Amino acid sequence: MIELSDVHFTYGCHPVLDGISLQVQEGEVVGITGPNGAGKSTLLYVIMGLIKPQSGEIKVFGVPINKFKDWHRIGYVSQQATLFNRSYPATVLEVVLSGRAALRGMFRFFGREDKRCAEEALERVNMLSRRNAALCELSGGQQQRVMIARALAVQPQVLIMDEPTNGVDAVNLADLARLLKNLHEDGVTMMLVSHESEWLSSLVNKRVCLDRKICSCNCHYYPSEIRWRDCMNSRQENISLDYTDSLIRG
Amino acid sequence: MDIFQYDFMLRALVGGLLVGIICPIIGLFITLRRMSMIADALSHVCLSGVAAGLLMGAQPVLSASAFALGGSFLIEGLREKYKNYSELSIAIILSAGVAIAAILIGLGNGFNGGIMSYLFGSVVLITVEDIYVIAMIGIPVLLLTIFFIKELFAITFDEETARASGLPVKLINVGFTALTALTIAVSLRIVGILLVSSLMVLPVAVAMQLAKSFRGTLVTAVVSGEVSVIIGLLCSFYLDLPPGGAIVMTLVLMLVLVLVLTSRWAVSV
Repeated sequence: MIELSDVHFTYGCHPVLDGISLQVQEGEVVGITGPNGAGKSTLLYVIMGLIKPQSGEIKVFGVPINKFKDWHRIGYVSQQATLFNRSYPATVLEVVLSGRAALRGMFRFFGREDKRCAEEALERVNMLSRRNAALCELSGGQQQRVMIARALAVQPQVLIMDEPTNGVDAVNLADLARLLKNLHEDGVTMMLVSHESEWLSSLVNKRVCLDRKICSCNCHYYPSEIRWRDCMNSRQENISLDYTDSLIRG
Repeated sequence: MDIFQYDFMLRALVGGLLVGIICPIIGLFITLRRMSMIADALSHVCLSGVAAGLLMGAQPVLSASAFALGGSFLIEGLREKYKNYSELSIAIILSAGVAIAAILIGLGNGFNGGIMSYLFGSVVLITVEDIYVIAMIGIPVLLLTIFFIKELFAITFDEETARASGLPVKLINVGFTALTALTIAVSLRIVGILLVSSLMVLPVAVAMQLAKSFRGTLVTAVVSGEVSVIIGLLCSFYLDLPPGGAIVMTLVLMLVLVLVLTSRWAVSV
């Protein structure tokens, strides 16, 4: 579904992504970990076309990224949304509907179909009963669910989340993991960037450790998975999971 | 009511009611973009536009619109240069606007005090031509903003996700800044250059205390704007006050009342 080959990205004279090659297959949950400044968020920005790499090739659903138009097939939950908009004057339903703005198109207003999809998305994250609540009335964990519902409102095939655990307490972390597992069982492919490496490892079936280069890429059996996936690329070194963890702690 | 016997009052009401709808809507989005100072900068650019208009014999609202549009594009350009200190772009344009205005007013020898009616607004001096210009620019601005409400909501809520979803964020941002500039230019005849930003921001401050939904905030802001315009113009007529001052003081009193009431509710709950 998503394919990167030999992607290089440099901020000024600092290389941030140094020859990244990665494949995300349908039905996978890919977890990306790494130390601060490792290029995790940059990798997501590159995949979503928010920044252009200096070299390398990116294909999304088999289409080169510069020709890709169906962005509604990818749902994105940003870090910023939950951190900076806790007091934005809007109800839960209004926020979720806003995820469909690009799909609805310019000079058109939201209709019944949009409302139905938004309510369905809220149902999936178990927040339908709070649809008319103000965003500021919700806890951090509930707000995160609303942001996920906003991304799901376009019925995406891939869900990309940048640090979904930020501002979510331990109790809500378990809830969030359960929710993401359910979404995966419903067939949603996911890419998750997180510092919480333990939390991440309970969820993912492919784990990528990034530090400008891909340091390791490990595949796990996941209960719903039928076969091992060959995720190792010839350019990538296979370093053990223990090393990955020590790298993150360091 | 004898107030409606005067043509100039009717003109002021028509212009005022239109401005009272547009200003709070644009004001809500500039507040949510955390750029409420942009209105101040552009209104000062309008001052140089008005001075240029008076100096060259052009329609002042039209010349103010042209200057404000230019200023808005410069602000957007400078925001790119000072990405992490985007407020600098507003300060630069504000200074340039006032400096050009000072020079042009000096060249025009103060325009016999005529500039004062643009600083604080004037009911008596609004001409039929002014109303045509206000409607000609104001109505398309209002319609465009209404058509783009869902995009503006998505962008002000979370610009990064809006870009990722495929919205043309840059284009909409530049377009919105242009709409802000035009709104300020058409409003200055009624409320005056120095107070136009208040008519954009204060109704939003009132609405954010009262409403919890986005739609509720938008409607409450527009209602507050319209109520303040009507009360302000009535006060201006009967008490012979400048309309801008009367409208904005009405808004300030409304805000104080709402703040007192909401804090009482909070205590009683």
